[in-house]
Amino acid sequence: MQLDNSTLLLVAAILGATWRMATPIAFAAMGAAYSERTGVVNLGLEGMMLVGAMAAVVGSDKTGNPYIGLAAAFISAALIGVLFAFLVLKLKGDQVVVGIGINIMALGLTTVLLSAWYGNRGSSDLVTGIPAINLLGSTNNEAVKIIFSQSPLAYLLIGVVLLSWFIFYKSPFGFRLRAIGENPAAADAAGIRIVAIQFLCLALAGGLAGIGGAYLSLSQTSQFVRDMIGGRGFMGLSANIFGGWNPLGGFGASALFGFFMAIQMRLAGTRIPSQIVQMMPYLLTVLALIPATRKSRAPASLGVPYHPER
Amino acid sequence: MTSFIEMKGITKLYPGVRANNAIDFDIGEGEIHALLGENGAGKTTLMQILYGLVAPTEGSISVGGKPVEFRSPADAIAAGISLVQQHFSLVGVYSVVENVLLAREPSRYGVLYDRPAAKKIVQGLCQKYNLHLDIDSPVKELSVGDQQKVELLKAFYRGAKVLILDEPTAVLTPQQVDDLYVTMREFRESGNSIVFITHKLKECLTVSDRVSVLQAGSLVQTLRAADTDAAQLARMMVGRDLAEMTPRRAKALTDQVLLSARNLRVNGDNSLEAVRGVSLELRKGEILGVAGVQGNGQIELAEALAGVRPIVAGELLINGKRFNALDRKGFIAAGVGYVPENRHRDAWLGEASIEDNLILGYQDRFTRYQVLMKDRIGKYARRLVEEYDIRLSALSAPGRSLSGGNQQKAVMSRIMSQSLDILIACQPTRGLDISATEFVRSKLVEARDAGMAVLIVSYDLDEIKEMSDRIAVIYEGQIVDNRPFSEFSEKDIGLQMAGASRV
Amino acid sequence: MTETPSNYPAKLRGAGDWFVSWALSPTNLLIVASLIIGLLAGSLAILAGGFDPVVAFSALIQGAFGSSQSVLRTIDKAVPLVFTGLAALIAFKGGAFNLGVEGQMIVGALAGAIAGAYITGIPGPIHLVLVFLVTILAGGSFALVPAMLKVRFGVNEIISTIMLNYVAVWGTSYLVNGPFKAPGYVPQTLPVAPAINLNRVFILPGVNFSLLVAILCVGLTLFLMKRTRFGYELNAVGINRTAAGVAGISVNRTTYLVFFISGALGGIAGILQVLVVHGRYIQGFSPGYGFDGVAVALVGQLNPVGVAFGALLFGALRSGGMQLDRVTDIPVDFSIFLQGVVILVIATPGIISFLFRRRRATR
Repeated sequence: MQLDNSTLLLVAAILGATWRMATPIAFAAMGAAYSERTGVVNLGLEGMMLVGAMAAVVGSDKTGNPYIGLAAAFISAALIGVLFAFLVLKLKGDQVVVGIGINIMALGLTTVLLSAWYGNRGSSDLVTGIPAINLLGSTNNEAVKIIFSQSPLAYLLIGVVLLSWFIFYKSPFGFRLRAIGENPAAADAAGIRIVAIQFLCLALAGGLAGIGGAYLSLSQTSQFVRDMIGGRGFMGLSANIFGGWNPLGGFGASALFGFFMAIQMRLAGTRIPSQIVQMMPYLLTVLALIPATRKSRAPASLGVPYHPER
Repeated sequence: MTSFIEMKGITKLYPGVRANNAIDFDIGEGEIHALLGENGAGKTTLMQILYGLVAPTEGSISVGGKPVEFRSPADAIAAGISLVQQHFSLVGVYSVVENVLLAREPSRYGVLYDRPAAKKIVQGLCQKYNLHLDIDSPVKELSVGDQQKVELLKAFYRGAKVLILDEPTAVLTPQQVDDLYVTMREFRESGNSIVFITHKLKECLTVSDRVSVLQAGSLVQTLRAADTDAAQLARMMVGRDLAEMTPRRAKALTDQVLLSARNLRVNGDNSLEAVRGVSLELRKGEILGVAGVQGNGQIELAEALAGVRPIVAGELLINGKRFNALDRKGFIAAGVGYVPENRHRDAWLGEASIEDNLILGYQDRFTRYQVLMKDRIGKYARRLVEEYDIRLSALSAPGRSLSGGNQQKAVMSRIMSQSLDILIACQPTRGLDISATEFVRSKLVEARDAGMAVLIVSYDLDEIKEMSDRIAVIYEGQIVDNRPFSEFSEKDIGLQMAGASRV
Repeated sequence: MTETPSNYPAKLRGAGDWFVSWALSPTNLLIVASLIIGLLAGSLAILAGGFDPVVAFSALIQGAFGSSQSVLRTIDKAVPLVFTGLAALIAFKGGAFNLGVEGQMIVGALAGAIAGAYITGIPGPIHLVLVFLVTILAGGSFALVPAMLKVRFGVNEIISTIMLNYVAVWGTSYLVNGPFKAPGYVPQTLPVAPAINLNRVFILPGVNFSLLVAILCVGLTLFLMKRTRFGYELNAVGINRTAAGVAGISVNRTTYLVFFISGALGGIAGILQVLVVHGRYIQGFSPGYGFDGVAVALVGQLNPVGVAFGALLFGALRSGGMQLDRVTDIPVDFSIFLQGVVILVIATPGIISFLFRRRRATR
């Protein structure tokens, strides 16, 4: 069968948009995987993304180099991750509530700073962003060009996904990491330094969420907008569950959510009311949880605090 | 005999409890050292301290004469100490190989888990210690006895010089216990040591070189096994002479069947069939003891008979009426009392008041027009506390403030104080000290004498033998034998529990 | 080992020192600590933004309690939080996280507002009851969705309720921009019938009708939780689902009821804003009352009376934040930041002993 050229380009545009939409969700999903595989429910990812998005813009603005902004996003969100870890692991705070608190605090903090530094409560100045590049620049094929015209961060994502999968399932470290989420008491008794690994994973989770936020602010809008994450952190949590707590699965699920959003953009301007279109990704995320919960198996000790007697 | 490990003046305080009180304990090279004491005497705490799982409040430890401080199990493992806990420390979804090697995995370039090498290591260990296991299957699919072997393999792989076994025989058949003794003695022959935690006098005299007796957190004495006997140990352990309990059997078995199950099939938590066609009858005024090794479907059977686990196929009649749905409320109304195995998980509200806990399951009987009758509840609760001698600070205190033994008594009291025809009790004396055990057993016998039909599930064959008027042996989800107590011999039961057909 | 906060009351043996021991109870200390930490963290944030913390906090307090007018505004802001706090509390007690109160609130409010605007020709009191019924049904039913997902499919309610908030926001936005849009630019419904507009119904000078409903609901919730069999069973399910099931309590039925009541309370929070404040449903009428419910319930130590005080605290933060916004360049969002800090501290009682230990160590 021969596809005519315009159909081909449409498909390519949707695929390219899927990748773009999926990238921030997938970064959050990777963060969720690192958290939940070590047994910690991390609702704070949404707030960590928001902090990352802001730090990225500020870093780029102050230095003119968006990659320094990216580093700032990673570090600041990782620090929030460490704060989360400290409250939950060391001071025995409630995982869910602390996560909620992180989100609310992040929303308030970023808006206060936004207004302080940019004199505007809605959005920051435009800064140097991270534009899309075409890794397959030499090709003449229009469709391929459309699909692969992506931010370097979207390419980075692929590397993160593959590396995470390797770590989880192929490395000794991954075996220990997953053992903590399954049975922390057993991992502890086996001599694994569980708290150290959990801290590391939660910091990493924050950092990855921060990169996801930086993608939104540097590669999509080139500015920070109040409350700009719009639930993508929670979608990442869902994608992780839908993907069976496996980085590859989490990526696949993020791609699916991204696809919903890409379709949604295509539907804008049609006869379907825009609000209904806007609603679809969220509704579909909820629906996706149904088969996900039935099929896959959560880490056995997910959300169950473990505090050794010492 | 030189001592390899010395623990001096170990004290551990928990809020309101002195779990260990200035205990001196040492482990010689090449010995099996039994740590004997009642439940709650502090044996497990002492060994968790030695393994670095629990930090002592006071005291010091030295290994090979050098003082050490174990901040975590990793430190203890490095010093050659391994602990097999009563509740195994296994990752259910990991294979035997993965569990044995956890935290010490063979790898290529430090980053790639080396599966072929891993398998070879574990195969080698199995051969060396003559342990037979399907090393590729996830450990959650293994029997409890096999899971214990995995724990032993873990210790061997780490090159343990001191192996601590916490109540290792509780989950085994008599024959498996003998096999374990063989493994233990072999381990000792190569110059290693074992700490053998138990509360059974016979066991510790059979296999150990020395015995240390703990009572209420303090060390009573350490002596050579050859120099003592059961009576002396019992005195030290309980602090008084242990009256030989004479079992009180039912005067005569009746024919009045209160509960009858036909061809019952029930699934376990993993959706696999756990009870595979069980038929049994429970008569008025008898105690039926279900004997079997843990994990042979007895808990699932009990749960189905109590109405908390769905029946897949078969028929269940209570007082002649069919009960097949998952209808715990209906079972309660029909007079079926249920003491679950895991009281803490299945029968207790840690964050609710003790008063609330004492009516749990029977709250309907204290309600008028949807409103709780607080006065009646208070009176009732005070009565139970007095009758069952439940030690508490206040009725309004949270449930979790009760000690394990008192929680157990509270659960028993609230169930036994209601009008019941049938009582299903799983491991009714698990975790109790001797006097509480005697108390609970006498209450069960009282209930039986008052005409109740009682079914007891226990992994402790001694308990089954002491309590039962009839014994049903369960193996892999099937009742392999069911006869009056007097017709059994111990050897029979042991073999049947292990799956051998009748001798 | 350091002393745990729970040791404090035991040390206060003085006769009649009830007040001191209450004031120093661990939970109260926690709240005070949360405010102090909030003050410090807030000052840092304000300094980072280049503002003056003293000016900021005095504006905040002025705005919350400075005049009788600001006190009334604080109460106004606190009232909806009482309902959303109770909604979160009921869910918590029943062992569920309902993070979807915001969505249930706007769904209930819109449904009630439509009933209030489009049904005509019946007497005011009946109409009012009808509007409340519609609100309760709509808010409660919308909450049954995550309950059903949880009971039937085991879907974690935390994520589903969060996602359903977005569904509610866009769904109501469609309705109020489309079929039920009143003429004009603003996305809002037609006004409710004048007979049920409670804007001018005061129970005390300046204090309107909704405070009465709030007090009523606190009392009812208290009675429900402490005195009724349903409260007992709900509590049992919340503490230990397995044990509740073994005790013959229908865990699923309780879960459905818990979510329904929770969603209904959310709806009531919304419809009172419609009937008392705006006279109609306006898109975006809620500055996040539903989201704050969880925090209010936690600050109230999961006790209905405590929720009332928690609501007052958060209402004060809101009305103080508005003043802050007016007289300084610091946006009202600063009070959101403070709320976040308060939640973090409340969720982490270990903070107190941590700070205590620190202080001792540095001495």
